[in-house]
Amino acid sequence: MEAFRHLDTTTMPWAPEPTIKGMKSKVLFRDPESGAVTIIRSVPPGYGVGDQPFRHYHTSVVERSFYLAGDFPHWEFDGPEDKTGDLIMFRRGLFMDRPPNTIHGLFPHPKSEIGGMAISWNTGGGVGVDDPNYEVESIDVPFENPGRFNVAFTSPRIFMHDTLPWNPHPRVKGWKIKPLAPRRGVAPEVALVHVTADWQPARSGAVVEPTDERRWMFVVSGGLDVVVSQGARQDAIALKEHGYLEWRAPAVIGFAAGAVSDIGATVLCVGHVLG
Amino acid sequence: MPAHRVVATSQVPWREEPNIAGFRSKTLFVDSPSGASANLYWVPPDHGVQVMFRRPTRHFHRTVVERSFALGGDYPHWEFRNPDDTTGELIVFRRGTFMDRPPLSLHGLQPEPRSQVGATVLNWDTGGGVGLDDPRAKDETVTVPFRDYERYNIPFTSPRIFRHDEQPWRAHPRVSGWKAKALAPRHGTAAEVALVALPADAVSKQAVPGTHERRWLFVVSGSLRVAIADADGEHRYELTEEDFLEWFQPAKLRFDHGTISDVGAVVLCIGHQLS
Repeated sequence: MEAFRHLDTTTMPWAPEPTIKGMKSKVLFRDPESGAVTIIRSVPPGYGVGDQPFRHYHTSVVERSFYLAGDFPHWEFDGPEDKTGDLIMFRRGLFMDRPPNTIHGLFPHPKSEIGGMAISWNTGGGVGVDDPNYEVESIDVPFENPGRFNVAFTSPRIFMHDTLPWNPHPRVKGWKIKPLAPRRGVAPEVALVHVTADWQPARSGAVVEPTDERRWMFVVSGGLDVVVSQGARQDAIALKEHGYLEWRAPAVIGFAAGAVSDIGATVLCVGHVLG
Repeated sequence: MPAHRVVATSQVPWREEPNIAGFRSKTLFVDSPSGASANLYWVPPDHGVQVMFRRPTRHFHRTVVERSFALGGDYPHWEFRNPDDTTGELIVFRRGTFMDRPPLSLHGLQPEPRSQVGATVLNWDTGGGVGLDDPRAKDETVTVPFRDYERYNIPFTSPRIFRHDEQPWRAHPRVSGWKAKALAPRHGTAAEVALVALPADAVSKQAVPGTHERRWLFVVSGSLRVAIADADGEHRYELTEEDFLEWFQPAKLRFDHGTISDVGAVVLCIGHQLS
């Protein structure tokens, strides 16, 4: 496996999403063992469930998403007896941290008006209704006679990130940070980090030390120049808006001397805070 | 007419676009009697099937200047040098694609490829009749068949279409620390277009007086705090992504209330450069 991978996701082709019929996707990462993915999904306009509502929960997988565009009505349920649920409209800037055992689903109406697009990642497979492992991981919850579940149902955290304040970055003066979710099991912590325009490192070299766990970032807006180092090898990478970069040991992320961002960058950081 | 107007476009519902079959839109402004307008257009996935019956189509506009800035998705479009060019050049509009289309440029759609996931495009023009279903199209827009077309005694023109991230940022001409990217010059009644990048924690004492002509902006990313001073007093706004602001004389855009932006902003500016 390569120690790092850079994708310009805007120019990647769309493909049918194999685990959720009707959606399209760009797969950024897939772990063949666990089935975990990092994926950009496109929900088509009018996407829905036909005439009957649908809901389910996942027994072990953590799901996280950051919405990039469009609209996607989604419902959250307190438990099997909650038959109306809370309608949440997923829009650009919305972040979702869904632990296992949260009941969520769709009603026939309203449907997405213009479709939606999100970057989503999880800790395992079986969450998409067309995934071969769906029946292992996910449990449908009927609306009529739901039965008894010996489950401590939980609630996700779903919010527009602009409802949270920016804070000073803990390690880099001038940068800002907004923690979105803590580590939960094998799901690493998530943060938005803002690198200021024309920021220059005090010294060139690593800013994110290597680990065996995959770390990644996705540029929500702006652009950022980084250097990936593996021993003597150095790769300069110009990350553009919606650029994706993942790495693990022995690769380390750093910056070359000089300004690393013309106009600043807001970066979704998973497993690190960039600085 | 009020001297200024703010539209939080994310809160505005989509409607069927009356002038372009299959599109949806959010209208930001329409001028009377010129018919000049600015709209957010949503192009559905597979656009073209229901509209063109899988046949290619192309046309040019006699007098209107069209400009657009793509905000997301993918929209394959073709440019033709003249009627004899029946193949055309495929250009896929993606987030960050800017188009400056003068009159007499021949453009259209081929049956394949079609939009994969749809697209959202901010579009503005100097007059009506550019949409094929607009009643004014019979005077403004000329459909050019792919064979058996007549000879046009017309100097066909070419648009400028490019991804803005292919152009470098330059120092803003008047505000230290800000950056700007000129996208298009004035063309008749079509005002000049620029992207302006404000850094995090930007401050400015600049004011942008309104003129008899509309000045407007659209927040591409980030957020900014502005004030509009007009005959009714001072109005403060927190503009966020996809917000629109227009102002005319005697209104004046001001920034003199401290920090303009927590994490910076990239702003599409029409008729000004935020200074």
